[in-house]
Amino acid sequence: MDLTRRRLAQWAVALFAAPHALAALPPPVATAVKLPFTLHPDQLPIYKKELAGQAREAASLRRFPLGYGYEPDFVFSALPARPARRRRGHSGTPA
Amino acid sequence: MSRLPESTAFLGLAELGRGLRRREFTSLELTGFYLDRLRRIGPRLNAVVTLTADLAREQAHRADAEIAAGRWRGPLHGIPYGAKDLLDTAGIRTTWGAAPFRHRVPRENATVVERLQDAGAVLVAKLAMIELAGGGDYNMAGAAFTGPARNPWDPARWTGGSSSGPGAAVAAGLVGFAIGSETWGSIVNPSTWCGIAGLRPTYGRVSRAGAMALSWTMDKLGPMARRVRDLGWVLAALAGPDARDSSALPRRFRTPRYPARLEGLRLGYFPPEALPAGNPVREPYRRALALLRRLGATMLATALPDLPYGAAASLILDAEGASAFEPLIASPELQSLPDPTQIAGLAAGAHIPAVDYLRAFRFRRAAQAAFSTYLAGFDALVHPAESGLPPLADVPFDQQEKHHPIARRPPSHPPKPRRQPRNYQLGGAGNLLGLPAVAVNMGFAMPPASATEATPHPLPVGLEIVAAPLAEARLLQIAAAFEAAAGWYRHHPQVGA
Repeated sequence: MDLTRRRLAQWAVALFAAPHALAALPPPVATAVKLPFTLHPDQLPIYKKELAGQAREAASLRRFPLGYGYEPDFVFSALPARPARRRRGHSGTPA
Repeated sequence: MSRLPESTAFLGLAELGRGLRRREFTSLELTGFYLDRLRRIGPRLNAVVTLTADLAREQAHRADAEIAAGRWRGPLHGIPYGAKDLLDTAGIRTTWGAAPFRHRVPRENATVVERLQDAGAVLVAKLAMIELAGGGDYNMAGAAFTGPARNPWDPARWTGGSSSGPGAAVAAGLVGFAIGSETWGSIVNPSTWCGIAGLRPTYGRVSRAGAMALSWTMDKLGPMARRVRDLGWVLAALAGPDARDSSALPRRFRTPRYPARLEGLRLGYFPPEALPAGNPVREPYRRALALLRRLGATMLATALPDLPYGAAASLILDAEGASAFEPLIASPELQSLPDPTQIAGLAAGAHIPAVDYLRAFRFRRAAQAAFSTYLAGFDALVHPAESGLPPLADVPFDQQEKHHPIARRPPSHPPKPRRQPRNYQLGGAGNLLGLPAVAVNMGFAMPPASATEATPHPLPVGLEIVAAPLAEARLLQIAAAFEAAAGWYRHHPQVGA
């Protein structure tokens, strides 16, 4: 139910950018979409824009095929990959 | 009043260290000199959060005693420096640049503060920053409880961020060097716009223990200084494993020798023609490429592999930032931040689905493999660190875009990927993939005349050099050769005596 509530909150704000939109929803839905933080009315359009930006970013990543299967090291992806062997040039080490 | 001439303020670490060893001045005198400048000039630039005068005098006194006894610790011994106010200092407030944390006093030092203390450096100031290092995005230079940081080259303009205080303080000669942090552009951008040198180390090069967390998998700490070689000395003091931070790699850093020429190096570059005609950075960039060629480098036009780096970096940063600041986002104190864009952005980050965050992680590993193959064809990539000049400090960024085509959104949240030319995604790619970068001044450009500015000033533009993970020595060699041949480091802003 938490997930549903969060997604509903996103949809509600995305669909009805106006600050009164949440109050205008039928009571059970309005209760369900209560946001877990407080935003002022003038911040809601920016919030909606941010959500739209995130949706675009996620969509652009979905176009990159990742497929199935184990990727046992993806959780360590922040650490730098081992540099590929360079073809030529300075060593870059103290010289 | 100090007996030291104003020119001392702009010396590099080699000259400052030489002066200390030859007893031309003491560390205590140098510390007093910089503290005086921090007091007089710092407030004009909104560069300082807290002066650490008592600690500084104590450290300087110890350095003088050791140097007099012949126990020289190295090139940072006795040198005053400033730390971005997201690095914990025991018993000294560390505010993260944000009003909700303005009374926060940590009990321990950050590892980098400890390491600089071990190297004999003298902490003189905690320096201003964009609040929470820009987490959640921001739309104004004033997104800091200390007010908008002002550029020493033109106080009507912004310094860049989020390491705004370090940029201003180094450029204005208020400290010997500074430590900044970068998640996405926060060292490279203010170094560029303040006309100094900055190093974003490889992810994992420098321990982040005791630093504010914005993005666990993208935050880096690194030096900002007036000369490229200074960056190497500071990195050598900072790098290495740390029991307090398991992401810190077990690799020390040794400063390289610095050849004057670049023969044998293959540098990939993005053609200047990709910048629109009339762009103020285009001509300095073209001249920089010509200079690198004259220095002997083999210049190879290239284009980045076409991958959604920016999208992945943005999703990871926003999701991790929302998690890092979850208690603040849920609290009424969120509304005490001055920038509505940042408030809304932090809140929106809390709604990124886990599946999107994980997809960005999986993509990052695949992109690292692709980029590693791509980078194998080059010793480094060079490109303009910023494609525009610093925006005005007192006008929201989005209001300047309409009237000032040179202004751009802040680096923590650049234009959405589909609006970015592919090659200008190198900032996103470099930070997503943990690659090191050096920013070095490549000249000055005049902003177009505007109704809001009576007298436009020439403003610094910078070259960014990016290489494979752990190739900082090569980056510094390239940047130092360029810096010496170009000579822009000899120019300093007129900030008043």
